[in-house]
Amino acid sequence: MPSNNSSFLDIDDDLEGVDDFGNEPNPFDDATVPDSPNMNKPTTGKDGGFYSTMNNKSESAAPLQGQMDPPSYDQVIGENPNENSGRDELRPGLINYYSRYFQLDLTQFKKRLSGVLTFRNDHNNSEDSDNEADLYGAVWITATVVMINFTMNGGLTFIINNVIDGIRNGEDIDRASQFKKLLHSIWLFYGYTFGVPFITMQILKRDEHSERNRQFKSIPELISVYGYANLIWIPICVILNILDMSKRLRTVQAIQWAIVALGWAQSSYFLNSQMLNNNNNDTQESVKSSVSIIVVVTLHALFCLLFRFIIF
Amino acid sequence: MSYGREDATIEPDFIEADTPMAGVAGVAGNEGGVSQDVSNRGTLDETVLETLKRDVVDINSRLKQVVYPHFPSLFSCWCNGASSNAASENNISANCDLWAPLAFIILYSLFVSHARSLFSSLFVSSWFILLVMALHLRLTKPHQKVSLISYISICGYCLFPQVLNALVSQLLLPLAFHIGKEHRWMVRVLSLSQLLVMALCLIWSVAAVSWVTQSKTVIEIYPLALCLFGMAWLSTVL
Repeated sequence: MPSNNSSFLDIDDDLEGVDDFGNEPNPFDDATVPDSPNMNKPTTGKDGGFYSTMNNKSESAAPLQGQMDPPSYDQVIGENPNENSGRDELRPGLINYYSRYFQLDLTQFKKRLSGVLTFRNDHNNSEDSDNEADLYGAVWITATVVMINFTMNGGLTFIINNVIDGIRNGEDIDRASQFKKLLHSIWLFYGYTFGVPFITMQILKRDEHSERNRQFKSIPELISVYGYANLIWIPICVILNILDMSKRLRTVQAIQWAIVALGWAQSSYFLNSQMLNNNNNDTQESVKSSVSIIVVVTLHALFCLLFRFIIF
Repeated sequence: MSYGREDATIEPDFIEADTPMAGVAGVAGNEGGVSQDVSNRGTLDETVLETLKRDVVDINSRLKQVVYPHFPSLFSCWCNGASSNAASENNISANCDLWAPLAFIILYSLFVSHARSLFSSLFVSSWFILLVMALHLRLTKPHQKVSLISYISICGYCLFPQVLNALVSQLLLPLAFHIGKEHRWMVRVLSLSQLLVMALCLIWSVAAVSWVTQSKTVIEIYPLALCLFGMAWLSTVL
């Protein structure tokens, strides 16, 4: 065949001769098979090989039969969404690829939340089975923090003025500052939660004590750690917003600083415990601070300072 | 010439778009039948008023499916109903339109912004919130064969209580403020009623969206509630 552009025609030509074989069931059933992408994929890469196998019929009959037997089309298509393992092969551009980071049930979620707040850093070690990364916490805990920052100030003002005092000050509310708060908390929190892990990942990889650190397999795992560390900012933002009502007093400012420092301590402790928890027993005795931990804590302190100065 | 052939290809398209509506709403049935006989060429030849009327009726019939039924049947559905959920689920993925979300968002941002310069930012951010809700639903339910666009459509239908909320707390209650001459107790009562309306509409729309999309756990409902709370809050405070 000099002009071997369409394999379909070639096979038709070859199948003329198949009639000679008596034991062949019905060769014209097979004639439609090479149209399917499943058949063409393994062979079209090397055209020469394809045609050579098609030329001698004794070889071509066997793979064709083998491929015809299962209802290949439906099975392959139907299998992928149902199997959990099939999702690993999805490309990162698809929505379904990311949906695996959002699959978690309530008990698991509660367990993780309580693990953040109760200083149990050996919590995740015991169950490596469901220690998968989820971005759900990172996205929605951060969203809650942002929403609290946005609504609480205005809400408290509204309640105090309109409901308790009974004075309507519709035009006096400082809406610009509210929206500034919203925008600043969005970029600050989401930027920190989803941006800084890329830096931290590189640092953790290049650390000389890297055997001590937990081996993060992927960026989403680290992002989820950072996202759950944001949990402490929910109560802190509530308290800070309440304190913010009487900002003039110096003691209130000092208390705000103290609370932010508390939040920094708790969340950086959580981050450290998550990053070190690979071999927990060894690291407890050698508390020598490695470079990566220092960098992480410093970045976190920077974030807290920004939080204090920009948002409040 | 080719006119007759074109005519034949357009007409079934029109009938197909019209029949589900005719099946859903009785009023729409007559309407659709008449417009079919009069204009053979789809929506091109009919008057604008007719098209608008048809769209409104269509949106209303969908609202009946998505948002309305939860007043009487909300508790019974949360307790036992799975069969009716399945029926409505078919409808969800079958036909989705973006007309209703567009209309609701325009109305919402019109009410909230008082047609000032805030309108555009409210419009854009409402669409963004819808997109976030749809993405969340799509990500947490990968096994349901509902596309992103139809999730946007569903969430848009569930904005209807928010539109009502914006209407009440931005237009009707301020009118009452003017009538009430800003008396202290008047202000207190009206502010409380504003909050109450917000809470009711928020509960309504959250119940609607969680019922329609069959989300039962807190994991699935909470982000939707957060997004809707943002919109409700904007319409109350702004």
